[in-house]
Formats: sequence, C-alpha cells, structure tokens
Amino acid sequence: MDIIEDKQGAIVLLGLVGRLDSGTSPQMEEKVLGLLAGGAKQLVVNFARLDYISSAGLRVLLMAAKKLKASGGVIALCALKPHIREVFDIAGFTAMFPIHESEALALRSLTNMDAPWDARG
Amino acid sequence: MGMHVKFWGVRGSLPSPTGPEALVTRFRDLLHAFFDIGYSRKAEIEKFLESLPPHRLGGYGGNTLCLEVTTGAQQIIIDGGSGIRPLGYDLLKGPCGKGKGEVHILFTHFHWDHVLGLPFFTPIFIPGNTIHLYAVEPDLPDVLKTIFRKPNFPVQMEQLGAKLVYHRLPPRQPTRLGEITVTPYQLDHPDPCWGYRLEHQGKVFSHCADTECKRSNREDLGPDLPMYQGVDLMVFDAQYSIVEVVEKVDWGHAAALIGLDLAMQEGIKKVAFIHHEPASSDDKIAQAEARTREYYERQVKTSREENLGLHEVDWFFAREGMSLDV
Repeated sequence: MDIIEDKQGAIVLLGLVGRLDSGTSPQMEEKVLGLLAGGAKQLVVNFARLDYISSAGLRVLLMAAKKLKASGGVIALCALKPHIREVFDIAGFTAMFPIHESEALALRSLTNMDAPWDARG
Repeated sequence: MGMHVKFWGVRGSLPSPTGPEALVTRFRDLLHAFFDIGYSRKAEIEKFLESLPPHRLGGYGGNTLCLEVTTGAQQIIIDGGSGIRPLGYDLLKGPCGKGKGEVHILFTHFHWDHVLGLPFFTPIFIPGNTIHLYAVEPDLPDVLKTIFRKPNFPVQMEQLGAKLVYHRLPPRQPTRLGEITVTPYQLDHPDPCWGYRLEHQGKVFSHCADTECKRSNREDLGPDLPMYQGVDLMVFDAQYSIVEVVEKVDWGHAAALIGLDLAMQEGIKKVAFIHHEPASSDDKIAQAEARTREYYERQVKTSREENLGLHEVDWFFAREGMSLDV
C-alpha cells in the first residue's frame, strides 16, 4: 500500500492506495502515530484509490480515531468505494466516523467545524 | 482413524446458563411461532423443531472452555473449564469409571474459565486413574494446589484419588502424545497463553483461544506463524466485535472477523469460532454470526473482483455439544 501525504493548512491529507490489511496496517499505524507525535490534530483519509480493507485496517483506523480524539483532534474519511463502504456498514463503523463523498467535502467539514460533524456530503 | 473434535464448553470468561426468564421468553416465542405457522398437532412438533435455527432451541451453550480431541487410540482434552464436568461423566462410562483410566489434559493458561471445572471432573477422584496435566508455563502444580485447598474447595490435593502427573511442554517444540504430535505456540493474551497445534495422520488441528491476535501478518507472527499454516481446522476466539476489540485493548480476545481474515490469508480450511461473550444472549451471538457471514461474503466477492487471491473458508460459530472430524 502507498500512503500519499499532503497538507492543506493544519489539515493532514492521507491518500491510501492499494490494500489496507494485516500486511499494511502497521505502516498506517506508524504513519498516524508519527503525525500525532508531530502535533497533527486534523486528519482526512482519502479512500478513493483503496481497493480492499480487512479487519486489521478497520482496527488501525479506529485506533487512530481514538488517539486523535484523546488529543482533541478529529478524523474524517472520504471517497469510499461501495464495497469498502459495505465493509464499514457490516462492521458497525459507519456511525463511528464522519464519512464524506469527496475530499473537498471532508476538508470543508474540518475547516468549518461549526457544521455538524456527521453531515455527510 | 483421523482426529475428531468435540466441543464440551465454548463460552468465554464465565459459565453462562440461560436464566429462567430467558427460557420462558424462548418457550413463549416458540409456541407462538408453532401456531403462527399453522401447525396445531403433536405430530407436527418434530418437523417444527427441525425447521428452527439451532440458536433458537438449545443455543450456543453456557459452559466455559473445554475441547476433546480423539483418535482411535488417543484422547486429549484441552482446558478444564466448566465443560470438563459433563466430559468427566462421559469418561466414567469407560476405563475412568473403573479406576483404569489415563487422561491427558493440556492447559492453554490458568485463567479461571479454563480451570474452574477441575474440582468437578469426577475421574480425578477415582483411585487408579492417572491424570496427565500439561502446560508450557511452570505454574501448573501451584494452580492445582490453589484450586484444591480450603477454603476454596473442601477436598485437598492429597485427598484426590487419581494419580496426577505434571508435564511441562517446551514452547514451539513438538511433543508426541501417543498418536498425536502437540506443538505449543504463543498467543496474544495477558498472562502467557499458548495455543496448540495438533497433528495426526497428515491432518492439523489448531487451538487458538484466548487471543487478541494483535499480530496477524506473517512478519509479526514470526515464530508463531505455524499455528496458522497448513491447518485443516482452527478454533479461534470470537468474544468481541471488531469495535470492542479496539475498546478493550489487552483484554486478550479477538473478533471473528480477525480469525476469518487470517484464515483467508493463510488458506485455513475450516474455522470454528469459540469463547463467546458471557453477557451475550444466544440471539446476540447469532447476530454476530450473521454479520460475520455478510463480511465473509463481501470479502470473497471483492477478492474475486480484485484478484486478491484470498482463500475461501468453511466456518461456523461453535455450539456446546457439537463434534466434527478434522
């Protein structure tokens, strides 16, 4: 899996490419922990180029959300392919994350935090 | 004869009998369903019962961990949870009832749910029987002394009729027990816990409860990877949902989705999920099984569409009393 990192103001953008599974979730965990250690508080994860997610991927995302919340931060996900969205639904994750149709909507939700966090675009 | 596995106890943490209120609700629901379908005669009862999913009748069972593995000439018991009590009664029908029995019990670890049935394992009180007790960790004799000691239990170690023989198993090294080769591998659990890989006539049975399975890729599993490779039947910890696993870090238990992913990754042929949450009703466990089915079907479809090379797996949530050939 490739993780493409970008920044827009204080918001860190992570674009996931390939598979987020037991083999690649340590890479994701390391990336998120590094960002947190560097003081990142707002994170958008773009799933547009992610083809597959397993329980290990779900686990690392929820761990990241918990750690961000504990440090007063927030995470938003965007552009999930339908089959990835289905895995989120089955695992009960849909209600646990702000999920947006596009990166632009995810960014807007974080730059305008007065808007309801779960106003999905 | 190959290996045969029987599930005498599949509940985690604490024995969990279905209470009177839940039973009354279940009987009422079943009677309503019987008449709602249009049945009215006694002769239709069996047909009706056969049409029901098992969790609506007997449920998944409330006894804690105990499995029995048998071949033609060898019997191995894994753990002494409350499920070992009915197994003990069953053994009394054979040599154990005449004081001529030889029993082999492997302990994964010594948390209560894995040892609490021992004081009620009748063959241990019968003179002439020999009970071989195996563990990787060195505390086994002390654990037994604690269990069979006043005020915990009225019968002292010295008063047990059977001869107890302790064996310390070397980690990650094969040990021959009659026809079966046993190799312990470490699981991810607070206080050391060991899974067992049992091999007989080219078939492999892998016992993986209790585990949080924090390590789930080949590199992280390292020396414990053989627990999951070339396996015909694996039992795996399914106490929690994936959300609960993240909420309960270091509690030492996994979710069915984690075991299923591991099985699909490593080509494990069959998985039986055990160590069901004691606070869960049969309906709740059945719902978890249904969600796991949705997840599995979705991932198999994705694997085909994306050419991911994941293996298809036969799996089920085990119920007390079930048995199957490996």
